[in-house]
Amino acid sequence: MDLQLSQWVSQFMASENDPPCEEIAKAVIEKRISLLQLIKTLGSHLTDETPHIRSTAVGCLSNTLAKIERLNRADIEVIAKFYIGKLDDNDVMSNTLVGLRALTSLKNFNPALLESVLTSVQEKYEPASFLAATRYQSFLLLETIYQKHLDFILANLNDLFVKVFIHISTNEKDPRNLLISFSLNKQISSTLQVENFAEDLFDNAFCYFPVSFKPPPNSPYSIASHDLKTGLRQVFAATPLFAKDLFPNILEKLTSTSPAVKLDVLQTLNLCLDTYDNDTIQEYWLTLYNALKFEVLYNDLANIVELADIEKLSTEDDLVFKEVIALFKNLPKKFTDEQIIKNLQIMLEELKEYLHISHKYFKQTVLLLSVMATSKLSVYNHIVGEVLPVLLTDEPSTVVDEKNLATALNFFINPDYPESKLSQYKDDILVVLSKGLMSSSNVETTLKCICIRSLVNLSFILDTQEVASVISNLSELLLSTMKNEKDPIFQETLNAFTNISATMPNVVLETTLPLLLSKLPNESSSEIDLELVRNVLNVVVNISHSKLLLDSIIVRLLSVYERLLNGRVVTMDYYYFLLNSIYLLLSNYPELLSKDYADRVIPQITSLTIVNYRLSKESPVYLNERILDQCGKIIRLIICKLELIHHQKILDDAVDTFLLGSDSPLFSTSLGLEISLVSKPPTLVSLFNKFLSAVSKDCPLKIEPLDVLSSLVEITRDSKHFESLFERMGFLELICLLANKYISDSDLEKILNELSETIDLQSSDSLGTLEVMAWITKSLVLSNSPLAMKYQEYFFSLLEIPSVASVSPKLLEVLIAEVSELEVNKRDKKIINLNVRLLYKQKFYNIMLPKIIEGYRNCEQASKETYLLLLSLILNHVHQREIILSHLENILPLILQIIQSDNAKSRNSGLEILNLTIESNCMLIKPHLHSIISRLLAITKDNSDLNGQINALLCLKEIGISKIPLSQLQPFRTTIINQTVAVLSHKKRKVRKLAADVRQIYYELEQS
Amino acid sequence: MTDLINAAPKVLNVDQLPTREGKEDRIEQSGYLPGLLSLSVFNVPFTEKSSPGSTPALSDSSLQSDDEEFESVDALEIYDLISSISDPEHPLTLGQLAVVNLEDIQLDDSGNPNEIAEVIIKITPTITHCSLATLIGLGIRVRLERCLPPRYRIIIKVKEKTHQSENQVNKQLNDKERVSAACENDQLLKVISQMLSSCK
Repeated sequence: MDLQLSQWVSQFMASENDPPCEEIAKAVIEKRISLLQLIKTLGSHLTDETPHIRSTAVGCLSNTLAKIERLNRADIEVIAKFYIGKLDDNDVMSNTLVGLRALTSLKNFNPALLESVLTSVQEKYEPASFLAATRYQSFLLLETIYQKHLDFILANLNDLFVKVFIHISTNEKDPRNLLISFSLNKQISSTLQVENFAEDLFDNAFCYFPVSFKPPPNSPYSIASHDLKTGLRQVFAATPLFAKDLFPNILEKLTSTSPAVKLDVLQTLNLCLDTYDNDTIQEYWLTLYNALKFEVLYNDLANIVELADIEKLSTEDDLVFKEVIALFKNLPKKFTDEQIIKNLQIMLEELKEYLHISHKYFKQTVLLLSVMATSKLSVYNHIVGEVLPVLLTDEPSTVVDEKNLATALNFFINPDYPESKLSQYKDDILVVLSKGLMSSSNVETTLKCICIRSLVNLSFILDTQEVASVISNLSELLLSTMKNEKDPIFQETLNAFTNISATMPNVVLETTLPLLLSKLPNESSSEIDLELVRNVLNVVVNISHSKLLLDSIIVRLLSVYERLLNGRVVTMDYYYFLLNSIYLLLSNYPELLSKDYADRVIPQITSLTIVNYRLSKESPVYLNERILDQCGKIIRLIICKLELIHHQKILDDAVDTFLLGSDSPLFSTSLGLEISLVSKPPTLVSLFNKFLSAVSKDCPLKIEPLDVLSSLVEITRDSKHFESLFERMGFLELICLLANKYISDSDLEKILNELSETIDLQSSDSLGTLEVMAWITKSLVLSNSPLAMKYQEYFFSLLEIPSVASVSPKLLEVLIAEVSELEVNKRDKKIINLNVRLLYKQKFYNIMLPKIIEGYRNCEQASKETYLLLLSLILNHVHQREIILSHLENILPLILQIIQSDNAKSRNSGLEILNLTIESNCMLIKPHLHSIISRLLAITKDNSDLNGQINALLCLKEIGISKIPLSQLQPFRTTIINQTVAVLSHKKRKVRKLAADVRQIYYELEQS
Repeated sequence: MTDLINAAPKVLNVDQLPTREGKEDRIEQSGYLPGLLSLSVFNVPFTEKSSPGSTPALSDSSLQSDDEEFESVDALEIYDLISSISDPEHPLTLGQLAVVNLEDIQLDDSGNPNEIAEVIIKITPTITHCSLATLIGLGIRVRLERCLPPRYRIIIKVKEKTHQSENQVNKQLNDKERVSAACENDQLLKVISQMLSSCK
């Protein structure tokens, strides 16, 4: 064993490696060797002349000790003496301290030894002579002693321990050491008796204040300035004994111009305020108050209208202010009830002179007081009782004064205290605020906004009648300001209603709603002011923040709809706005929707609409399919929000109504209408489509879907069956829906094959059949079916057949076009209404685009147009730009061809993609700049194509701000500026504005 | 800029300034129907022969009639062009500072593209001794010359009784030679281009 030990020892004495203390310690614990043996073996090394060897030897011992949990008491004492002796040897100090720490943390260490340890450290260890790492060990030693032997220290060594701490921590500079020093200081100051040392302990910490430390980039300890600041702050807050030194000293630092320092001071004060006892605070509150009040009084409070605004502040200066406010909020919490009266009296006495509306510190003073008032109810009552009478007797002479008064009153309105002295003054406050609201002109925005906010805040102490009158005033205001949506007064009022509608829906229902709805033109109005309708409905949509309101608003809007239908109003936009508002209401508050909407609203809408449709060929619904479409959208929305269990019933009812022609609960009353889409097509198919598309695909159709599909296909093939295009499109949609949801791929293939056999490409009669095929294929594309490819190919092959070349691009467009009925229901993932795969579009483009490019290259001159048309058509449907980004480079040559085209529609889609190209990768177009710019300029002059002009100007604008090197653009600058002059006289304002923007960009080209 | 000539000007709220921006497309059309109908291969023949029943004609025709209408240049359009110019010494726009006001823009335009039209703009300096009035005027002139068709004559004046040396400034602002000389001064152009950089 000895041999082994001496091997270990010599092994590490020779090398630079860490000593194998682990193994030695293990051997000691297992009693294979004794500690004595270890010391003997280390023997000569411990006293070697070379400092390095001595240090390593001590280190070996210390580190071994650190791995051991217990030793017998005699050994401990011997080793302790050894270490105490070693404290004389500066070269081994670091390891000695490690050893002492290991020793003091042993389980059966006798605390009686601590006195000599601590005394020796105090006498023999001079922190100034050592490096930071060694000093770190001294802090660790003290920390360990504190943690392990706190009780003993408290009883016996209180003073000595504090002195040692002061000794080792004085003049410390290293951040890591400071961190531990602060933490020790905090613990000492808060647990030991430090009355006699308070000043030294404080000085030891305060000399670091304010911390301006910035961690060096290569710091190994990752200590942030924030850690030090917090550590230091906690020292100050550790004991109220520091108060007498802290307050005068730290308040002096408040005069600093740096917001960071100020913030530090204030945060420290706030922490102290929390931890110090009431008596201490009482002693110093006046000092604090006197020093801090100026931080509020000298502040410009222009943006603060209510106390909550303070929370929104965020710049560095504002943070200081926020902290001061927090301080004033906390300060009075420490007052006892007797002190409150006394202290506040002193303050109010002093602040009295500022409490006049026109005084320049008026707002600040009120803010200060109101902030203190938030601390607790007794303080609040006292301040309100003293201040409000003063405020309310002042007579404001100017608008600015009125504004200040309203703001001041608002500061004091505090819903946290529902029962307070404020109610004594509510009548007076109400008078002041209402006056501000009603009498001043709308130009005085801020005053009105403040009054609106204050009134809403005040509502918690108002009685029903008062609330009603406030709300009626606000409603009037809504009506008078709704013309300009951006008007701050309008916005403020609308905001107010968000609050009011949620808390007092009844009053809004009785007061505001009738007022608003009475403004809507009725069926006998000779002229309908659409702007008014739009504004009123906009307000209605935006104030319905509760179930009660939503329910009754929808009922009322539906009754307006009914009246309009019965009165045969033909202003279609009115219907549109009305139905759109219902739609918006339902989609804005999805959480308020419930089953009863399906039971109530759907039958009502369907009955009204269908009855009117069937009434005559002059009825509004018959004349405009947009009404049908909008109604359908509302129905679809409601179904989409329904629980899955209700879907089957809805679907069955819809099938009863629309396919079987029987009565169903979808009608509020039995009307004996026989609708059968399959036998006689009416336009109502659009409504049925919404039902069918919204319900979950797991709900089976109650009649055989394949039969329905077959008859639909038969009807739809022949375009002569339809009265309008809208109707025919509805049927095609329905075919697509059915195919997508209910029919298997093999059945679809059969139908498609049968259809394709009947096609005679030379005859125009086959167009209808081709279109039906396209819509069935669309359902396959949506579900990413492997079958889709085959028919995609088929339609692609039609491109070069002259007789159908003009329609085949459209047929391919159908495959990718987005149709609202075919959108996936987004309510939750569990209800899936359609088989639509996520990446179907991506797949389509990835297959089609290379084919188009290739086809274009290889085809006859005559067919090139067709390919370009196809490309422009399908590019119209790229709604997520990511899909197309990777193809931009390849399709660019075709795009350049497309924009040369004379067909406005395809040219426009080309321009849109060109714009996207410039925006995402402008370097692609660099080689073609000349041709592009001259073409764009030519398009801007084509007055027959408004959208083309707009798109061309947008492209020019995009080029101007793109990253194309200046040297490349410079040659075109003058041409662009000169050639756009003509556009400046364009008849459309929008175009003129764009031209002005483009010119501005190119004028500035050389300046940038 | 070390000394501000007017350190604390009166500032208006941007949202309350008159503007036409963003109001153009307020009545949105339902985009769905025309979109769906255009997918049909029968779309062209259907619209050409006046179709039975209803068909898309309604919304289309309303759009078309809208297109034909000539939107003449009015004071608000000019205001929109110049109100967003930045003040040379404040980070605010001329509209916010009420240097330009809608009611101080006069427009004399017959609407005939072959006749000369005239715009008179009166600017209100924030203080009566504002030495930057000429610079502001020049900025407005440059902006308008870039954005209005050449048939417009632009006259910029200081509003009556708002500037100590009203006549001098007026003279300087409308003196062709001086204006074009100013526009050749690179330093000056840089300042102006900075003022115009905030234009929307």
